[in-house]
Amino acid sequence: MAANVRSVLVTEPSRLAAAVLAAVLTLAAQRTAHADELVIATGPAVALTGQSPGGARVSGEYDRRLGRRLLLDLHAALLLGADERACYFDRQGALLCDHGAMEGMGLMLGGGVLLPLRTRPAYQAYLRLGAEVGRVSFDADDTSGLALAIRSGAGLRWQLGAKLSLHVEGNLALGATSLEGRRNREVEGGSLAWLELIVGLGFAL
Amino acid sequence: MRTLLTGLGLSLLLLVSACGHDDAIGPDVGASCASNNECSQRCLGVTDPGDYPGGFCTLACATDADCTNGSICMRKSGGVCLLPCTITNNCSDLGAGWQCKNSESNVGGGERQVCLGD
Repeated sequence: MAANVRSVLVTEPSRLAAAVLAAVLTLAAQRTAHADELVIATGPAVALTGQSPGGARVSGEYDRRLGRRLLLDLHAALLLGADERACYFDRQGALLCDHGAMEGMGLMLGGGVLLPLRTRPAYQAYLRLGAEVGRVSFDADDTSGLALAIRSGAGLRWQLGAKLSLHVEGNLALGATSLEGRRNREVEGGSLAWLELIVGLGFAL
Repeated sequence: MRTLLTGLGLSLLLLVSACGHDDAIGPDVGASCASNNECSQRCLGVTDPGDYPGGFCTLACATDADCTNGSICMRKSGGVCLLPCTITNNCSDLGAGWQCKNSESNVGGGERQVCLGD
């Protein structure tokens, strides 16, 4: 047995090196792979339509591993923007809003999946696909409504320690909102769109 | 040839005169309103809709330079921005009950035509 091992060590050093390298990479991959975790993230969300809220986005997210390349995400997010008046009624009484990129507020609840891509020793890339539902409001206009959006994007995750990770992520949300004006409480449909770039810390559970 | 040019000129004139104020209407001037809160500054016609049926958002002004989106400064209500016109059809974007009328300008004292209620 010892002779066989010695024989392998002496006669097949390249095979041994490959085996050691594979073991190291596997360990590194396990270290950077997504685990169940809680992610607290923040960053700017830039509204792309006049009915969309934009500003600072703060979110709390629970990621649960469902498989080697699949995680479930559940999250709550708050969008905090400037409070400017930008809605008015046209001559037919329809509510029109033309808010800027960083105005309004939103409280969104969402869920979806994270799809980890090939793991590197230093980081892991992933895709996000999900949806959010919530309430958007523009207080200066006394206008608010329901919002529904598909939210997808991509991110990178670095393992900083045994239980700590860093996430950087960009997402695009597209959907619809129904804003209710103050006058006759009439509801006007509008398109919802925003871009976000968020940075978060993940805490393994 | 002269008939053709005349026809073309008349068509152009009609086209220009038929243009309304749809692009000018906004929270500064022209939007419908029921209170000042619905306008950038001021809502006319809240208590007496006579001159401003449906309400009319406007800005206070001393000269035309104080007005936005092509509106002009008129002497009504202490100086307010109203939408200019040449024929009543120009006022059609404001809805029913609006006409093109002469009114006293806040600039130079003469009269100019603006959209006002019937």
